[in-house]
Amino acid sequence: MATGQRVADARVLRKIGLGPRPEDSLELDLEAWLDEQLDAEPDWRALNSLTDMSAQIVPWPDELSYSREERITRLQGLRRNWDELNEMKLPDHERSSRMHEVNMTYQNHDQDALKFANCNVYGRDHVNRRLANFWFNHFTVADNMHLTLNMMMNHYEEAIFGTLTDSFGDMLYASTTHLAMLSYLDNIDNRGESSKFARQCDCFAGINDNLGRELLELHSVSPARGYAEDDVRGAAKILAGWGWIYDDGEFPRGAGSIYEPYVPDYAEPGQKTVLGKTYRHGKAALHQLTDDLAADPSTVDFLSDKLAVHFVGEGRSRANVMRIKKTWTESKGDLRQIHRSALLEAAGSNQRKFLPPILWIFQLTRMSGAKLFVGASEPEEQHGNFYFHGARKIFSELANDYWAPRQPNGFSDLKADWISNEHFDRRVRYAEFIAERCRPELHANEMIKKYGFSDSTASLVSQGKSRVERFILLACSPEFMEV
Amino acid sequence: MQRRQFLGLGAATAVLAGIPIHGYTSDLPSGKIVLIILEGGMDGLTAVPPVGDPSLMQQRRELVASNPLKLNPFFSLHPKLTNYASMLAHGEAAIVHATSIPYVRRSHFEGQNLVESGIRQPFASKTGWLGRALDEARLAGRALAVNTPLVIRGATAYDNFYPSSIGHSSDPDARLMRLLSASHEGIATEAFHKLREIANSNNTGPRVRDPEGLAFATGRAMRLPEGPSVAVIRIPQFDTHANQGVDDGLHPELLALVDRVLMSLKTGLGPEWKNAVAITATEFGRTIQENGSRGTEHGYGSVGLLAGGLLGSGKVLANWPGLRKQDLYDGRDLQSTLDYRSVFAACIEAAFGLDHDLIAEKVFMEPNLARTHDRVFG
Repeated sequence: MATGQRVADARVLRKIGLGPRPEDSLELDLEAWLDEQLDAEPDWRALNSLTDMSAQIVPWPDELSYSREERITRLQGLRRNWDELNEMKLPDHERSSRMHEVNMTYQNHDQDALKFANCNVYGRDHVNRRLANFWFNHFTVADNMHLTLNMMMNHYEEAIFGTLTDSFGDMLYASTTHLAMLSYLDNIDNRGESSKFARQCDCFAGINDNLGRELLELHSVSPARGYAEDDVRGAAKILAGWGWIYDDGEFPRGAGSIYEPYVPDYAEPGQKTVLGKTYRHGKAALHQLTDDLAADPSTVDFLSDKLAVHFVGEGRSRANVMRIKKTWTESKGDLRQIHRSALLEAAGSNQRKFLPPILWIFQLTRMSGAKLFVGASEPEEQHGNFYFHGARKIFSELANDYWAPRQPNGFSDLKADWISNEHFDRRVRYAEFIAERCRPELHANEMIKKYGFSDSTASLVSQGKSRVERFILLACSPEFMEV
Repeated sequence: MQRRQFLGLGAATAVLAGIPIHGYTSDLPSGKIVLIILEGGMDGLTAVPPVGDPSLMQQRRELVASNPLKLNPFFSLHPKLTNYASMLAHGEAAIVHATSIPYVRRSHFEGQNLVESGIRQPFASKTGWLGRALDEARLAGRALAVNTPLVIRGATAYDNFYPSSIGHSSDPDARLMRLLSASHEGIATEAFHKLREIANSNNTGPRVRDPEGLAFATGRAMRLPEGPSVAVIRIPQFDTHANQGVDDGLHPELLALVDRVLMSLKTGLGPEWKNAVAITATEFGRTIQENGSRGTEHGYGSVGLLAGGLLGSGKVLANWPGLRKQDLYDGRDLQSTLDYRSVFAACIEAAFGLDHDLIAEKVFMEPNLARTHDRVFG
């Protein structure tokens, strides 16, 4: 798209972001608007309450936003209370009811998912949200232990959102050294076989290669690089010493801060080799490794294509990918420039992108102005009166819950993986649910007019016999599902 | 407990598949295949330890259960597999050991893709081996899950089932589904078309979502005269890099779940169990030695568990490669001495009556794939 081109309909905003809201103007200069979006400060906003008929939008409350330190404190509280309950002689039903109370008090994933949902629906920074969601899936962390679950949102906020305008190398290092990743891929158990700890503790200690393997395979160079098992092992040895288990409140001797959780006593001494390059012993080796991996041409190839598939669509052209790759190489991995390039490729392409369920429901909720998710003043109602409006409930029904246990390759970006009658059954049901129960500001005909849907979509929608039927037909039309 | 035990919390997921048959109900093969995908890399040496191999205790003493169930002088069974042991004793199960799909690069995602596609090159096929087998047998497919697994994707139509739980929503309306089906293209059209058929059929199906419940419901559906011939069950979380567990813990609990799924399936199938074969598949085994965190890393050879009335004698089949350092693949993993796809092929031959050469060529694109039918089912 040429500079100064004005956006005529909502399609481009849906392709590169999460779609406009009813109050948004579509009269905008695409490139200028994109630059504003890419430079926007994070906009943590939410609906105040589902019961508030004025639908007030408020900043996400500070008391429901947890720093890394507060998350550790809460995790330790969870552990301490569990241990106390386990030591008490209680009847099973009482134990489980008190466990539930403890979980509600000290766990934060339901609130985190609610914040994530609300900000995706109400945030004005929706291009950066869309980009952050892409990277949050690329660097998958998911439920496998309390430390991971507890830290996931901080990974999203600090390792992903916090590095969106830095270099890919910065993001790779921030993600790799984040507690959520170190625990999710078992690196908190990765100890050097010849480490001081292993020599002195008279216990079992050794390398765990889970994160080292995925760092190469999924996060950076990909199997196309043709690395060997020794490279995986070398990366795992460099990673030995990063992370430990936090919930007992004790920090190992010499441990770094929770922002750089490196324990020298756990590290494997000696030089390590990865992809032909030698790394000297020490904490700095990991940053050198992630920088080298980030700059490797295989990483640039792999991720330029992955960005193109996500934003342009599976039908991306070789030219689309080559231009993203060129920007990547020339900018030395500057994410802001890479993102701009990928998004302009998407905006200028007539290829279609099939929206996975979570993007579809965010867009439907934004564009209709519906009140789908529980508000910031009532997070506990996700387990009460507004159970069906809970973020994790909705994400899990759509089989697209970032917080659920899942594999480290993340959610698929391919159309065939999201098409089945059960997937479509959920889309039909949620479209009905939103139209019937979530007070949309715009109904189907108003959305068609405001957002410039095509005549064929308008004709399909006109065959609905009621407001709800027309809303379902629009939400499940080819044009809404695939942008 | 550091690591969350999802099974205990009821968060395990399962994928099931089967076949409703439209159109050609005569001359149908009577056999049923249930594929149980053990996602993450199942430790075959823990499930079926070769206790007669003197290297086992030298290499992985810490990973051998304390009271394994003795199968023969060489092999034992993990004590969590009690129902399965009974099936073996009654001659309705078989074990294939030291086997793997032909894949040695130890990536979950390439390996899982190959377990389902049945070919040698990762991500090179849009269809799966069961889907192609169904095509050759002229059967349609059905998945019981939100997603349709690659393994049953083929040229024929399929549908799926996994009940939703969305407050106050109504079942999709047939007229709307017809309009949507007509407005979309390709598989999206088919999916809306299937919703229209469901809306017209009043067939609500089972309303359960736990693995055992779905296995039982699948068995029940498969026993009907025009019921499904194929099912796929997916059990995740076998990627036990830390605190794998020996007698108790995550891996033993997963084996117990496999055991219960097999039993639920048998109960659900009832009299049709005699025409069925269930077979496990995993992307790779795990390292012979424990790692530094009481877990195991990605390996190569593993074990396949088969059950069902189509099987004959409750035996363990293995061309045992040994566990001495020099016997291991890369010096660290159980060697595979049999391409596991030849066991898949044997199941297709037994259940659908297709010729082995045709299966080898058309389903696995491997004309020289060994025929193991007589050894597995004889």
